[in-house]
Amino acid sequence: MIEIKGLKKVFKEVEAVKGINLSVEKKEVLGLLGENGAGKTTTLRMLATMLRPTEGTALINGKDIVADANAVRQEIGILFGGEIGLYDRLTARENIEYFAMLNNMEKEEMNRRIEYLAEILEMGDYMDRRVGQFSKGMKQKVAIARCIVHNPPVMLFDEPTSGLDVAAARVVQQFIRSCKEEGKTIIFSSHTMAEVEKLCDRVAIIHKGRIVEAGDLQSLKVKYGKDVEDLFVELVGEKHEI
Amino acid sequence: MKYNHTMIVFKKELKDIFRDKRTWIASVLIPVLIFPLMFFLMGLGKANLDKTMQSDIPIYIESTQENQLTEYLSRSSGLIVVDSASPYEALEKGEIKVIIQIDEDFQAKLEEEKPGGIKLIFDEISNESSMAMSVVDRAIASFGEEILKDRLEALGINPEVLQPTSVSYEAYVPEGQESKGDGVSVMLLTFLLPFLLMLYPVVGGMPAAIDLGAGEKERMSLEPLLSTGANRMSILLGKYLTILLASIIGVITSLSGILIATRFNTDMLPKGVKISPVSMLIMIGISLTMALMLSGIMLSISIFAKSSKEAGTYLSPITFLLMIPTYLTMFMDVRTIPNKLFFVPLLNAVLLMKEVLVDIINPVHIAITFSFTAVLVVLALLFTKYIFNKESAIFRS
Ligand SMILES: Nc1ncnc2c1ncn2[C@@H]1O[C@H](COP(=O)(O)OP(=O)(O)OP(=O)(O)O)[C@@H](O)[C@H]1O
Ligand SMILES: [Mg+2]
Repeated sequence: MIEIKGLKKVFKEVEAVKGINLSVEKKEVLGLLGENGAGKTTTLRMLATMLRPTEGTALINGKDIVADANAVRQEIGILFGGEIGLYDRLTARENIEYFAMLNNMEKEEMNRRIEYLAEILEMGDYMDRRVGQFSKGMKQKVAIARCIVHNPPVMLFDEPTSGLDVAAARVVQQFIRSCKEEGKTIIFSSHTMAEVEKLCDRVAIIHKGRIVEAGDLQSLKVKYGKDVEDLFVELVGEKHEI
Repeated sequence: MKYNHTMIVFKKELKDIFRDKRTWIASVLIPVLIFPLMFFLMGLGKANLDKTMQSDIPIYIESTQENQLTEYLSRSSGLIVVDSASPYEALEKGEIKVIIQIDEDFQAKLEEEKPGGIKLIFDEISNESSMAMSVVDRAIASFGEEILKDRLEALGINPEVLQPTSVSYEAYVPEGQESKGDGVSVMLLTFLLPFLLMLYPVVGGMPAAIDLGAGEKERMSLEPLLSTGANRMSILLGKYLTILLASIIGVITSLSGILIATRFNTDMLPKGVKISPVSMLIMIGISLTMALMLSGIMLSISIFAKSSKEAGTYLSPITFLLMIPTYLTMFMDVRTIPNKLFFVPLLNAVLLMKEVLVDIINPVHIAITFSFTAVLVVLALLFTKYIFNKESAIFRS
């Protein structure tokens, strides 16, 4: 599980994240919904220990992201959107093995796991070919296998479908669903409501570095008496116009 | 730690860069080929020049009266007097190398025992013409000597009377050392080797440095990499070692290039040059510390850069920076280098290499140079570590 406590990040002039509190239970998918520049990536980077919080902290399966960063990284897998970040001159297998080894996997366990992932993601044909000439969809699958190879209990997704066509986006969404079925704790950031509605149990709306509303989709609908899409526009859009 | 993450990173990066043909070109192909090629081309030019100089040099003599000199020159070996309707055009075309203008009253003056005027006209642009002129000059001088001898004999004077000294030359070679060959080859050697040992760590390591720092950012693989179970320092160390190895390979391949080059063309490099084991050790030591320092600097600059292109822009001036001390010291006298110059980083490395190449082993210079360079290495490594831990460098936007 993830417990975020007063997390804050100040870059030189910008206060990107202004002290947020959130918790995500095991087996739960939390959608972090916000528009461009809201602070989603910054929040997820702090959780992944790549950025050091200015204030506050978070516990990931009880491990502190500030005090115990190395241990935290063993608990998480990340899939950040945009470019996929594979090594073109390595084969699919080598790309995945690299991350497996850096996550301290035993050789036998690693091989078993890679075989399993190659099968369920249907990558068998091209596991030993260099990634350079792969299509975007093929690369996406390798990236998925790479982020999950060490079977982390917590997954962080930052706009993982941005820039993907419908088919590739569907592969990613299917993957997130299967993570959920496996009982992982998941945070998933997005700026499209539709995707959040499709995948998430709970949603937190982030705006200018603050959580402006959080709750499960159903109870939010009841509370405000309107669609979550409209609610999002109301909470974020109007303030935006000022 | 059960797993050595540094080794995992090191092995992966090596595999990665050696699958890249740019690495092969920059660290292996160019260094191995550049010197043989350079020497081969220089040799070609030189051989050509030698050939023309060995055949008879065509000259043209402009004189109105018969005289002894014209006759002497047409007899002397190595010169051939040619006739030409337009000698100056022929000189410009290189068909004639020198035009000799002999004064009208030359023969008369000779007989009066007064200096006779001669003018040598040559083409200043042509190397061959300049060299031909000195050959003609020598021929005229020996003509003069013959005349002189005749005149002295006529006066009953022994020519030796006019030669009070007889000078011969010998280079001093300290006991236990060997001759370094002539001055030109010493200069070539003491310029070329330090130049290579300074420059090739950068030439060899640069493609790797760009790819492992900025390249990782550019393909967006840095974030996933940093979020693995490995800690940052192991990742950094693995990358650093890869660049260091590429640098060292660059140095080794360029030195092998020189060795190959000397096989191609033996007279371009000093013959029988022997570098003593101590000197060799010191040279290797300097090159290694340079590689240690420069790998760190290149990696930190590359990590700071946003893209490979930006990294390339920042890194290429380093090559010029390293050329400065090698050119500055090109004409410096190795015997009288002031001690204070050894406190100047980079310059001291070049100077020390120049010294040990001619077997000057000065413990003070060695100690100063190595301790200063060691400090620089440590600073470079600390700087690399600082940059790699700096959020604003890694996530620069
Ligand atoms: N490394 C950085 N240095 C300085 N400012 C930064 C840095 N990273 C992010 N910011 C700023 O922090 C704010 C939040 O950025 P962040 O990337 O977290 O937003 P986001 O919600 O992920 O937006 P998007 O939907 O565009 O990805 C922005 O104003 C951004 O300019
Ligand atoms: Mg973002």
